Amino acid sequence: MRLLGKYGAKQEVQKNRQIWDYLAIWVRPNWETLRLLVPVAILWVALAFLSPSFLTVTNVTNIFVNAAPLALAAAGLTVVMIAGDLDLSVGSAMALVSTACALLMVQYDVFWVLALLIGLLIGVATGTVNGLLSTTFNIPSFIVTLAMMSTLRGIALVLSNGQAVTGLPSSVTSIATTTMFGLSAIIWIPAVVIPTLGFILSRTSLGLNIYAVGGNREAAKIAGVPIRRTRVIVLSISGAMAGFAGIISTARLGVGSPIIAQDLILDAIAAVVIGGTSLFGGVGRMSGTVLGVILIATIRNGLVLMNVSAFYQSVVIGLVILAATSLDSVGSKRDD
Amino acid sequence: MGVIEAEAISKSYSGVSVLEKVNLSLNAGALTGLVGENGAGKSTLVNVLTGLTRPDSGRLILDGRPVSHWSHVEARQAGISVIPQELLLVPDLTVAQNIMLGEPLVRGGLAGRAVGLRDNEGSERRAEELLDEIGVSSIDVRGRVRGISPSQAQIVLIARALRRDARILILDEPTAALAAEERDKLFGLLRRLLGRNTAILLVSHHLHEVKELAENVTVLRNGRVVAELASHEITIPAMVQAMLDRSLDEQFPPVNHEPAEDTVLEARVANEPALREVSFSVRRGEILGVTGLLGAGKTELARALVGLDGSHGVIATYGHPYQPTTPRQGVRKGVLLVPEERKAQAIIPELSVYRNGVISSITKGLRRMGLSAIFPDSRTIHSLFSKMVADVGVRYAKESQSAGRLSGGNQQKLVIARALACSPRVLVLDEPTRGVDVGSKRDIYRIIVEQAKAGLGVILISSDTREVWALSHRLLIFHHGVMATELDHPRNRTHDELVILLSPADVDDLLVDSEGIGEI
Repeated sequence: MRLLGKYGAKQEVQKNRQIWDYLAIWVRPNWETLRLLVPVAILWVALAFLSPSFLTVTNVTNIFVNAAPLALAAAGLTVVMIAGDLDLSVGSAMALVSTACALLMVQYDVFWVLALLIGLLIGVATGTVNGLLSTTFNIPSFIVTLAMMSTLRGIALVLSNGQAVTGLPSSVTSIATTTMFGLSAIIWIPAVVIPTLGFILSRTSLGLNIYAVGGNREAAKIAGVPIRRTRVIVLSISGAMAGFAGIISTARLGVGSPIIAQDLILDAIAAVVIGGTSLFGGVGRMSGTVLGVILIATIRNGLVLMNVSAFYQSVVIGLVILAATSLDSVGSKRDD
Repeated sequence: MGVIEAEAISKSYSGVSVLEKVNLSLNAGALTGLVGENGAGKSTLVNVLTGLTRPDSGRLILDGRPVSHWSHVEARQAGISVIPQELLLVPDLTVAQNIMLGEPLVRGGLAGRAVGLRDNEGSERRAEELLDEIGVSSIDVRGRVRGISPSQAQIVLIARALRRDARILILDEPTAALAAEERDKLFGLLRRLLGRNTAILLVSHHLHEVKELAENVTVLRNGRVVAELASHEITIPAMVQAMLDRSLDEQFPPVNHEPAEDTVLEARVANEPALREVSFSVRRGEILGVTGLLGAGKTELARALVGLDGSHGVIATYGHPYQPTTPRQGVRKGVLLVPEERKAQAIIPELSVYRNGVISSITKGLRRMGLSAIFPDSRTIHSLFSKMVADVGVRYAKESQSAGRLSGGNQQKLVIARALACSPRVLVLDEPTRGVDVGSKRDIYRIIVEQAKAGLGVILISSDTREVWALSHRLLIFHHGVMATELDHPRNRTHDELVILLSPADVDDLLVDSEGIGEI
């Protein structure tokens, strides 16, 4: 009996252990990513000294709330770029999602939760279409999404007649003001979604396939990776991120707008590249992108606090991209 | 005294020595042959001469003076030109533009000089002069490079080298893509260049060519100079003997099991352009060798078996037929390919050793593997990986190190372990030991035999005839896409008998391949 009990207990332990094995996310410090913490920390300390209003709860919250759409777009783009693809249509997809959600609620009286869900699905659908077009007709995703960037924006403008869609139900606008555990709901969405994507990338088979497709497509194909499916999924993920970002923007602005996120893609690519993701695919980490987003958002915020003209902001962001990426290539220079 | 001399050059990559105290001297007006097996260090040595690779130690002596700083810029200034194996030309530029590439002629006059206006007519005239100089009149300098033949491409590259006043010309496998008469033309050209006092280094697997042209020959084996032959010593047997150390290389494990009666795989490959209709079957535990010369269709067969270029036939595993359209199907049905080009087709360099090793295992799907199919770090997959890398003998420092940093032999073993971790029924190995060090070769042979003994069907595709001769239960010899000969138990014959069957037409080339050196 005793033996049996022992055996049973051991079995139980092993079973638990196995589940733990599947889900375990032990945080492995990655120095290449953490290197980015240095400039971010320096920046935060400097700004705390330069501007008394920088390190206040309101301002810090503000930084993160403002950065939420960018963070989501950049997270999606990270996945896409690791797979060796590119998605330029994120901003336009956001505008389409925002416009469509608002129109559904205002013109067609769709219940707001359902309308937002449909918005999210529209986001996913734009990505899936990108993926299918690129894989079916063998057009580089750069070209497909460049075309979709224009097309989706155009659809949003046509649907809304170029006007912001006003008169949203108050439930939607109140998302922006709702807090959970002291954090705005606007922050909660990326705070849940982005780590999930990070987990998928670093811990799951899909993630492994994504790295493999970006790292060496031919080798991945021979090894049995479903190239086409992986690429469609990757672009769909990016579309889903555009959906989330579009919903957040709509809630914050209180209107559905066809002209939001016009330049977002530039900041998103910048954040991803600063975060160490390779433009050629196969290399990259979600944590790097998050730090890249924080860096850009902090610079923008700090420059505003210090009353620096918006024109200079662009100059500074540009220089930061150059500095971050050149440091990176110096660091990774091979000896052979 | 040589025009350029390499003295005691050593180079190693991640602890593996590629060149060890290598000496080489090139003389004006003389052709030096550089021969050795794949992985002997020939290309590394060429890269050192051209400044692309910095040696760990040793020095270069140019015209009697040791050089202090050496990069491809200095190499070019010193008049060194390489005609690489892959003929790197810009296809959409004209022949003249390609010849003048890098330093095109600029129009005279103030405006022309200031803006750098291209002088097309001048360039074409100059290109024509250069081609005349080497006695070639059949190439239209105004035509695009896209349409020209490999031999013409080679001539364009040689003309470019002359344009840059090359005193030292390095040719890497220049005849690999050439037909016989084109080869003769090239040799004529090389002789004329020698007459103009150019120093030439010829890197080649084709020993009869080296014998025909070379005044002296340096033989490399495993990164060392094992022989330096003067002109009267240059014979094919002498070179072969130096290239291959039988005592080291020829340790094939004994294959003393017989395959089972049941068939694991039947293949019928049709409408693959490089192959006539081919059909054969593999029994459980059988090692089926496939060999043939370059262009025989070996690689095309390997690719067709896993559906790499779309569907080219019907495969049946245990009597269940399917038409593979992507390798994924093969992976799921247990028919896996270890491809020919390790770097381009097998290793994902930035991913870790572990991830590279498990990428095929996770494709089996939820139904067969449960949650493990979703989580590559799960214990099931990890233990599979550990077992396979241990069995195959993959050596690495950490599972998390990037696979691109492993040595070629370990990368190859990792790719084999990756395939075996899927518990395949049939493993298709395309040139599994090409460019692999001797120790890894032995590991690979051992695992092939062990796995076959355990019931795996192996299709061993190789241009190394000794390998297939020693390991196969049955051997298929291909000739221009046709399955020309089928031999049971090839070891019942001598290796030389087998080699005669490869290509009875071309005895000269056979002589080379009979020594198991490489492809014709």
